[in-house]
Amino acid sequence: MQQSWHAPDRLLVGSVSIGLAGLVLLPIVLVVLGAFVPTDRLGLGLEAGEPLVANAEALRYLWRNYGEWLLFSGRVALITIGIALVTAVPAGYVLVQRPFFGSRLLEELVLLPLSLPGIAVSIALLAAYPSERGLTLVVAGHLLYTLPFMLRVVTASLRTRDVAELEAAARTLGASFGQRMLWIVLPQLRQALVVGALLVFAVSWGEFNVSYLLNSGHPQTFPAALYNTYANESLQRSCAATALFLLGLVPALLAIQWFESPDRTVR
Amino acid sequence: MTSSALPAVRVRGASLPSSRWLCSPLSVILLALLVWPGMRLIAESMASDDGGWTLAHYQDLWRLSRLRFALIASILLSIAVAILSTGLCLAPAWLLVRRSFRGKRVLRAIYTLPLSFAGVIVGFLVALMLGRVGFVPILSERLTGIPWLSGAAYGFAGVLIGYLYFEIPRATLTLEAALERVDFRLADVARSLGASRLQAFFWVVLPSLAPALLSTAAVTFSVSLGSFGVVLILDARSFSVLPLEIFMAYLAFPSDRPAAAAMSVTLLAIALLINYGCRLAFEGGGNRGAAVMARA
Amino acid sequence: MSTSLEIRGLSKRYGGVMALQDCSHVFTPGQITSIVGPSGSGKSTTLALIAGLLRPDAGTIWCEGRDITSLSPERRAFGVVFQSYALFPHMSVRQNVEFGLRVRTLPRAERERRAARVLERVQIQHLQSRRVDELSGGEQQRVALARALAFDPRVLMLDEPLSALDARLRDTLRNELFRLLPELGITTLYITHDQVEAMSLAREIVVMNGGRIEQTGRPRDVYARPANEFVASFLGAANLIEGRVSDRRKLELPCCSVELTYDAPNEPCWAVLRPEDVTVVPAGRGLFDATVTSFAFLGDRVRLGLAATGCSLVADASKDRTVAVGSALGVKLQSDPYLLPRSR
Repeated sequence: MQQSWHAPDRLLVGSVSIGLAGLVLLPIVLVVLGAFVPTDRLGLGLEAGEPLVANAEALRYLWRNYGEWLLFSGRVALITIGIALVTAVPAGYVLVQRPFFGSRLLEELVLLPLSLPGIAVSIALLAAYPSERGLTLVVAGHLLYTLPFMLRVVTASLRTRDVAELEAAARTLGASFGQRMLWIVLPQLRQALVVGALLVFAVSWGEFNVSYLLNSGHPQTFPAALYNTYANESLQRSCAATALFLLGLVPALLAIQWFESPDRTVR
Repeated sequence: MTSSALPAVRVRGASLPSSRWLCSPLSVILLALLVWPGMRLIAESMASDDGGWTLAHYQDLWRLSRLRFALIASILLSIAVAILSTGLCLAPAWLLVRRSFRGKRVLRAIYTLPLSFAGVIVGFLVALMLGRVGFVPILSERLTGIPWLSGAAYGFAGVLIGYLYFEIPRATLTLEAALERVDFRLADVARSLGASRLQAFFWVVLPSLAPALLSTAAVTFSVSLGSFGVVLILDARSFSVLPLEIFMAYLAFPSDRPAAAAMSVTLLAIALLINYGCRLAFEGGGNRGAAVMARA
Repeated sequence: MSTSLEIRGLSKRYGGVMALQDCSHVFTPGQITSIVGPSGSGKSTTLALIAGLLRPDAGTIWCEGRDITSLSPERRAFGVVFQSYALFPHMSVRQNVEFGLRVRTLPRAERERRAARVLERVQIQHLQSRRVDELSGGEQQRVALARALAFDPRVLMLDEPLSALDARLRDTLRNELFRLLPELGITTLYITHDQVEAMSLAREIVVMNGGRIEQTGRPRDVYARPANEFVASFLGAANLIEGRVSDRRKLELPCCSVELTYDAPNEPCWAVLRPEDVTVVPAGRGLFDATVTSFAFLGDRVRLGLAATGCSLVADASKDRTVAVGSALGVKLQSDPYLLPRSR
């Protein structure tokens, strides 16, 4: 069957799409290149006849000075993933299978932070818990912005796979609550949980608006390290820092794409 | 999957220990991290030096030209970004939904990349491309002898491009989700009744997309409103946004917490107003799920 | 096993509508009872209530003399075959079938033995290692049945088991079910909207409409003596003609007068005439004359639409018959119409 675009102008759609993709990709490519190349070569240094000497000096420097911050970011992300899994999965189950009076409100509240400016949220958290500044508050802030993703992935999965019916069948076969959770519900959620964890990681890894103020002292989350390098360090080092950041982020995003259902073309 | 005529499993009473307690960790977190801080924030925004209540901090927002400018700039910038990103990203969203081709997943991955970029990173990228010695000016100088757009990063245009950059994934994915729900067979029907491609698009497809477009714009608006990393890096002397002012106020010495709180409340109010206003305007659009980018 | 099952006064409200109103019935132990009715009549709700997946608003459910109304579905040991089969997609056929046994923590050898036995019963041993999504509709249905039977349920319930299949597959599977189910000897509830399935399979049918039980009884009895207009027209085609009885033996219909062979109360009534009881003869030779308004060849017979003064009816004729629309024919009644009281 011939697939109709229904777009007013195919050329327009195609060119804008490709253009945007290029716009997105180009700076990233440059950054990665820039990490290995001394500063003033940015641009096209080849013609000048001087060889481009790639070096990893910037990377080494960064690892020495900001390695701890990388690990800190990782730690925050892992803790956030853990808490998100433990809170969102049971809640998602209840919201889908046994909705109750306030369940819509709960879902809305979970989604709320996504529409709120991060800095305002961090000021609010600081107003409420000024003494908890540090890892605790950073995780709290990250949770607010990652729970919606985890919850949404869980509820979407439960709804599309009609887990309600599978559970009903399991009940008639005699399965207790625990048996149903372990043998029926959680296996159905396997893919959703992986995608959820990756999403939480990706969001947490790149979170800056909320994290910066909520932390106290060093180490900060890695995006804050980026801020430092941009403000104070050479271009090469800044590029290197960004490249490191991407190294943590891009695999996660690619994995998410990989796990999602393959082709969602609508005819 | 055809669902059995059996109604949803909903057994009340003694046959199942009430499983609503499973929601309590989540509820506790929300109460502790959202509700209580919200209340404390409002309280702090109205704190006066002598321990009483005052609205002075809100008034400052309008009286002080610096802050007033930042507020207006924030709003205008966010509106511009919302409209531009929603409009532009309709194209890639369309492409991803309507056509299948090899490398589609790669293309989608590319659009998704800036999703997690903090504003500071985007600011850096913009400076890299359009700064005084950015890639574009240097390239154009090599090619044409004129450094185009040198320093453009530090003006309004640069900031706008920065914001656009990290809104691309959000807008694209939200629109993609919305487009997936559009029944394109209606457009087929319109075409069979004689409408041209353009007519079918404007009369059939666009109206059903309108709620999604609006909610995409609303989401991109709110996110742009709260982001200040871009401006932080670009350090535009002539340009400030309200989140940046909040940042500065808090980090000032001594920390002007009430002022920061008042500005925060203002930002929150605007964001909430826009989001729920749009939803109410298009009740039943069913696009809340699309508005949340839960499927990155 | 022949477990006794009874529902008393079951009622269920569902989103503002009474899905079930005061339904009571004693199900014959060890036999197949079919619950039949149009969609929305409450049959699936009844199944859900008996299975324990829903709680009734009023009424009780009894099994082997015990009130099981508040017993959770996990403990009822009723096997259910769902309309959409609800097979566990992440498990193989054998794992699906063994599920009920695994849940009861039977030792592995025992589990395998019983699973193998039921797989063979349903003739799908060759499929046991396959994944569920690789199976055809008919195969999935058999897996669902095997799964429900594996743990020797006290009662077996099937919710429209054949409705998801195409016509030819439906016929094949129906025959298999008709062979298999009676052999099992389990108290069985067979929910369907297809009255042909219901009447041919079940020892007893329960006709439902709008949340109420309209009539119960053996298929033959319910067909021949429907309790009201709904049952009459739901089970097979029926001509319902307004009439009136006078002199206890004279049935006055708009098109003709019939001498009854039994006494009937003098009152307005509906005369129920099945198409197979109405024969056509050359014009002038029957009880009355009618014009042919439609003609449909059904394969095994021919169905004629007839119009006479004041009434229109449907008659069946042999498949070799060809009749022109508009022609006149005589109508004869093979037997006394069945009479239902008419209130209006």
